[in-house]
Amino acid sequence: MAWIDPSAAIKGVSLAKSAIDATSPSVLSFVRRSANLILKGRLIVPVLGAGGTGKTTISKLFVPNVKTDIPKPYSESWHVEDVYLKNHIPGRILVAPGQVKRIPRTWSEPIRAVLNGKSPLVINVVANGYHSFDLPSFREHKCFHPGDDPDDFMEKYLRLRLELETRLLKQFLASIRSLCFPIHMITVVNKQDLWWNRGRKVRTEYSEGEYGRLIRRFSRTVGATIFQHDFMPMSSVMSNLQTTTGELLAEMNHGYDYFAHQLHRDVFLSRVQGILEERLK
Amino acid sequence: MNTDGNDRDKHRSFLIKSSSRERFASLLAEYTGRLRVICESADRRLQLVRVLYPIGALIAICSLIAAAGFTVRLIPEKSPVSFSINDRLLNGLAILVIPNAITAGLFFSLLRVVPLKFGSRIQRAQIAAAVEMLLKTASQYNEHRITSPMLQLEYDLRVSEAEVVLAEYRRIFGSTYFKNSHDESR
Repeated sequence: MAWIDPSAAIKGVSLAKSAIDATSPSVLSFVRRSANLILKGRLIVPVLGAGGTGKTTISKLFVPNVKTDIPKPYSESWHVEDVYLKNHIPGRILVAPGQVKRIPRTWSEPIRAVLNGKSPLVINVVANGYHSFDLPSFREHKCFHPGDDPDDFMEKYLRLRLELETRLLKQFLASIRSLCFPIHMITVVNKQDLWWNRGRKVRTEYSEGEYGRLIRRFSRTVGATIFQHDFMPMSSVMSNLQTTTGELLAEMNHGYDYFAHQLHRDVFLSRVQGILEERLK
Repeated sequence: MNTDGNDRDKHRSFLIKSSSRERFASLLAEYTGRLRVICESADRRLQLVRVLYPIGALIAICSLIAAAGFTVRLIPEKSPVSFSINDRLLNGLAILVIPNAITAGLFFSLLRVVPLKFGSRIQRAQIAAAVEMLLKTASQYNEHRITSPMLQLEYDLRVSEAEVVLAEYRRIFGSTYFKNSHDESR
C-alpha cells in the first residue's frame, strides 16, 4: 500500500526542479523544438521583395553567431535561399530572389506555402526605393541620362524602384487572393539609415499611398481575421548606398545612431518570434 | 574614389561597351555550354553508380549465402577428423569473410576509380565559378541596364539556361558520391 507523504512529494518536486534548472538550455530548446516539430510541423516564413532590398541580410539576422553588422558588397541571389531557425521554433525562412525575371520561376514555392497554411508569417522587404545594385557605375544604369549627376539619377531611380515595390506587392496579393489560412504580413521598410531624416514622409508614403491602399483593400477582401499586417522600419546594416566602384549614391543620415539601429532590429526580431510562438500555441 | 576602383570601372565598362553586350552574352553561353557537358557526363556516371550499388549489394549477399552453404558442405558432420566447435567457427568465418571482403573491395575500388577519369575538380570548379560570375553580371545588366526587348529576351534565355546548369552542377557535385571520391581531394 502506498504512503502519500506530502513532505516527500515537496522534496521530489524541488529535486526535479533543480534538475531541470541544471539542464543545459540548449537541451531544453532541443526538446521543445522536437515537440513543436512533431505537434505542429515546420513553419515556413517567406521573405519576399524586390532585388537589392536586403532580404538575404535580414534572413541572416535569424542565424545565431553570424555577424551582420559589417556590410558586405551586394551580391544577388539567383535561387531560393533556405535558412533554418536554430531555436525552439522549428522554422524555415525562404528567401526568394527579387529580380523581376526570376520572380515567375522562384516565388511559386513561398506562395504555395502561404496558400497551404504552412506560413503563419510573410515578410515583404521594401527600402523606399534604395535598392542596391551591382553595376560599376550609375552611368551604366538605364535611368541615367547624359548630364545627370548622382542626385538627378537617384531621383529617377528611387521613383522607378518604388513603383516596382508596389507592383510586386500587387502581384503577390493577387496570387494569394484565395487565402483561407490566417497569415500575418510584416512589411519591413529597410535601409532606415538612408531615410531616417524623412521618416515621417516615408511613413505617410507607405501607409497612405498606393502600398497602404493595396494592403487595406486586400484585408477587407479576405477578412481581418485571415490577414493582418504591420509596417516595421529598420536597417539590417548601417552603410551608404554606393556602386561597386565606390560612387556614393545615398549616404547615411545624420542622427541615425547604433542605438536606433539596434533597437529597431531587436523589435523586429522579437515581433517575428512572437508571431511564430503564437502559432505554436 | 580610388585608382583601383577607376581601373575596375574602366575595365568593366570596356567589357560591356566596346566588346558589346552580345559578346558578353556569348561568353555566358560558352561557359554554360562547357559546364553543361561536364554535368551531363557526370550525371551519366552517377546514374551508372546508382545502378551498380544495388547490383554490388546483391552480389555480396549471394556470395555470403554461397559461402555459408560451402562451409556447411566442406565440414561434414561425419568427418573422419574431428573438428572442435571453435575450429569449425574459425574455418567458417574465414570462408565467409574472405570472398566477401574481396568482392566488396573490388566493387568499392571500382566505384572510387570511376570519378578519377572524370576531369579535374579544380577545372570544373573554375568553370562553375566563371558561370556564376557571368550569370550575376548578366542578370544585373538585364535588371538594371538593358532596355531593348530583343536583347532582354536573349539575356533572359541565357540567364535561365545558366541558372539551370548551375543548379544541376550543385545537385550532382554536391552529392556524397563526388564529395567522398578521390576526385574531390585532388
